[in-house]
Amino acid sequence: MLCIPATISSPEVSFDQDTSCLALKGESYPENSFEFFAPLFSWLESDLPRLKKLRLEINIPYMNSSSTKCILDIFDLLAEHAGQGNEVTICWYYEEGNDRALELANEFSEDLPLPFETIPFRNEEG
Amino acid sequence: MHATGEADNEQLIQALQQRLTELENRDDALSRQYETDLRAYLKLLSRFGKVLAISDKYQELLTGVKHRPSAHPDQNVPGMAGKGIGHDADIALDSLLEHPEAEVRNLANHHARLLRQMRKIMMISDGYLKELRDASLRLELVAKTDALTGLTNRRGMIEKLEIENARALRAGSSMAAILVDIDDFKNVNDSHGHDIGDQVLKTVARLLQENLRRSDSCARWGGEEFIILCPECGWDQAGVVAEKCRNSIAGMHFPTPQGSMNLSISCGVSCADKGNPEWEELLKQADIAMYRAKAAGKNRVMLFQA
Repeated sequence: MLCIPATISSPEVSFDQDTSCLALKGESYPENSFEFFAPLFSWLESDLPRLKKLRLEINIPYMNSSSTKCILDIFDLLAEHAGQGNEVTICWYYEEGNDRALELANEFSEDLPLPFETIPFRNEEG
Repeated sequence: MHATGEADNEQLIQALQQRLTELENRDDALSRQYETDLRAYLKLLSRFGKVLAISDKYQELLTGVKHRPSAHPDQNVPGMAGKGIGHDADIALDSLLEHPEAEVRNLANHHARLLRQMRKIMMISDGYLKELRDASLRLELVAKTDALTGLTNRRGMIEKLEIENARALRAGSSMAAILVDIDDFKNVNDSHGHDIGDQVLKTVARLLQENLRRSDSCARWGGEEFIILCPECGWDQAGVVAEKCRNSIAGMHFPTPQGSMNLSISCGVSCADKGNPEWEELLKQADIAMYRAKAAGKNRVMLFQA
């Protein structure tokens, strides 16, 4: 069971067993990103091998550089998992009309051997 | 190891340390993570210095510094003889990844991956930094803007007053402030409601702005009070600006559901010479003048007199 509630500086992390969907939502600039992401990495280590199918949903409007490294490391793990014949999809949410956010999404997906979908969403607050 | 190899290493280590400092400034946690890797690389470098030092692309990736081709390329590196070391960077990197010693190969592989990642992180975090900067500029603008009228708010005007005050002091120029108050605004709200009151405020804000000179600026100071700041401006010119504003508002018929309504403003003008008095006092004087304009029957401009 993976469920980490969001704080002001760290995203919500949750896994839905029924849909096999791992979701990260919220800004990510915790004091120590590696410490924050550690439970997710150990979950991936223990639970990922049993998952034939995984959808990773990312909705992180801002992340600092160490969070960026963690996300890229997660992508590497997932690419390896997909390489073993499992189905992995990444859905990247970005604010509609924000060209820079879309560019950043493309930066993340470059050279990544995984299906990577960019999905615009409307910012209700703005 | 010959002298050239050591000099190359010296350069490379300096560049590495520089990049490490950059990373530290960027993100403490990230730099700690990479530090271990960089140290392992430096250690490897001291053992296989000459071999690693010729890998231009590798160095570039790691240090972010464009490598100057070595004056003494080492022709004895396995697989590199006659291949123009220092020119064909890809071959140099490949040669490292195919080094006969497994330890070198593994580390080279590991580093090649880390360096790609590092470069990516740099680009991504630059993007986020730009995004943050834009967002904070937008916030700053919002914090200095009056939501109803779109004019600068009190906070933004205080900043402008301080800057212009300092400029007047330095340049020895004069500057004027005009305090504008809508006459009988309470009556407008009481008899027509706050929606009409808001419309009046917006209309007055627009008319004031239309009658300013390019260098003047106008802010909503609070309630139905506005301030016009006129840099490099004497008493006479400021009086003319205030009179233009008063005239333009007095000549307008403001439509309401109950028929058209006349509006007017009272203005108090004060002028500072060479930063004297300072802006706080300047506004007090403008305020006194404005109250004298009200007392004299409203819909008029008064210049401050001690």
